[in-house]
Amino acid sequence: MGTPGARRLIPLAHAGVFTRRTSLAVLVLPDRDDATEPLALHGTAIPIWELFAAGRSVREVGALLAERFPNTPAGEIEDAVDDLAARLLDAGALVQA
Amino acid sequence: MTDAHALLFAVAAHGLPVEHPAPEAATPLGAPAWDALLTLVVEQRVTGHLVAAIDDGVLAAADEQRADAYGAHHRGLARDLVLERLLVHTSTRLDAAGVAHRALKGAVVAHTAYDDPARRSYGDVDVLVRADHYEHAISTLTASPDAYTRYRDPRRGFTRRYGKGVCVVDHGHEIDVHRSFVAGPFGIALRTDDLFADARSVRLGGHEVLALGPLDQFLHACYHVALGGTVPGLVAMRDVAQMLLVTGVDLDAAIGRAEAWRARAVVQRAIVCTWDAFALPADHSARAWARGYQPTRFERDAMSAYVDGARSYGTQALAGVRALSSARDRARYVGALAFPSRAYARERGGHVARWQRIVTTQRRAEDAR
Repeated sequence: MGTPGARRLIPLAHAGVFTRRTSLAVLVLPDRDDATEPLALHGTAIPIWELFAAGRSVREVGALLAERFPNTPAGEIEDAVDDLAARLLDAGALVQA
Repeated sequence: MTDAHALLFAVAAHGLPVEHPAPEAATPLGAPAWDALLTLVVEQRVTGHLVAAIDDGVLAAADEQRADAYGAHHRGLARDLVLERLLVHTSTRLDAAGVAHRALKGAVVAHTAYDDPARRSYGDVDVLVRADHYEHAISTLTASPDAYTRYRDPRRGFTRRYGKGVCVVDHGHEIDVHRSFVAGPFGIALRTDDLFADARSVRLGGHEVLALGPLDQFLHACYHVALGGTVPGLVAMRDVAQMLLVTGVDLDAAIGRAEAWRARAVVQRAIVCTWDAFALPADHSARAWARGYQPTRFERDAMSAYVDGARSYGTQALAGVRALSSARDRARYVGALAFPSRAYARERGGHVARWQRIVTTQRRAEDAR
């Protein structure tokens, strides 16, 4: 997917995943056999996951979250989004839109 | 009923649109009572209702108890998701093989009868296949060297004609493949072709899976409550209540359908059990119908094979003869049970042991009446 910086501009979306939502977490099970248990997303991972539903880049998701958390440096937010996106891509929970 | 059991039923009823006494726990339970409740809730797979009752303020819980409840709920949901994926993969394989099928219970009920599928957990994967596709379905699902069926047909074609179905085990995963809802007379009397006249598509993990239509889904829940065991399952009763009181299934149409399947007594028993379990309003039309319905002789005789103390597969199999109308079918049915294949008999200790069991089972059933 190119350099890390370039990856942040590529629109990403939910893969075909199986999910459940509770008031404390979102559980996400990718549709592949090597995923033996769901990923459990908590805290700010939940809005990040939900923002990717519409097919957005890391940069776009970071910018939207920065509006919600104006006291946190935008760069830190984008780095956190990028870190989570990388793990979700690796797990097969996100794909290129 | 212990305090923990009473609380369990109150928790399971949470979310039903009825005046229901709140759990007697306006303050957090002590550790022993909480542990007893949580154990029952996990066993009965109603953690979704437990966390909803806590979050809605109906059941008081200390922070640590709420965390325990969510921990148990998330573990249950993790299992649900793995089963949901297995259902989708099973359905995909059956589609590819041209096997007409419908997803039953579990994931599809969670997604269609409840606003939030996290409210309804489950423990297995069930699919119904059309009778004339039954053997093709089994060969499709046992094609891999690691897959096998848990039970064997007494005679070739027996389950396709008269049986409930079989459990397929594939890489340690269990898939219940049904021809009918239950074994025995009510399973034989059910017109299984009717179940394929209607369907609804349910989207699971990006895939479309066909499930029973609302009427048949309700009737299946009734069969599960009324005939599934000597003690009706809590989740199945909650499904019956949900479909009658929340999703608004057409009860008159369901009763009409059940009449064609000689199973109005099944609906009756399911409603009575559900109303008693959750102390639902006695003036509801469903309860009024159940109170007034007089089962037919066939229904009374058939029911005894499922709910009496002598309940067993053998009792139900023997009672199944009553549901067969043609002499040819009866002869074939009895012949298969009396003279099963050698492999089938060997699995069950040989012909002599099998006959002894059949005779013993029949005597117990007669004694119980």
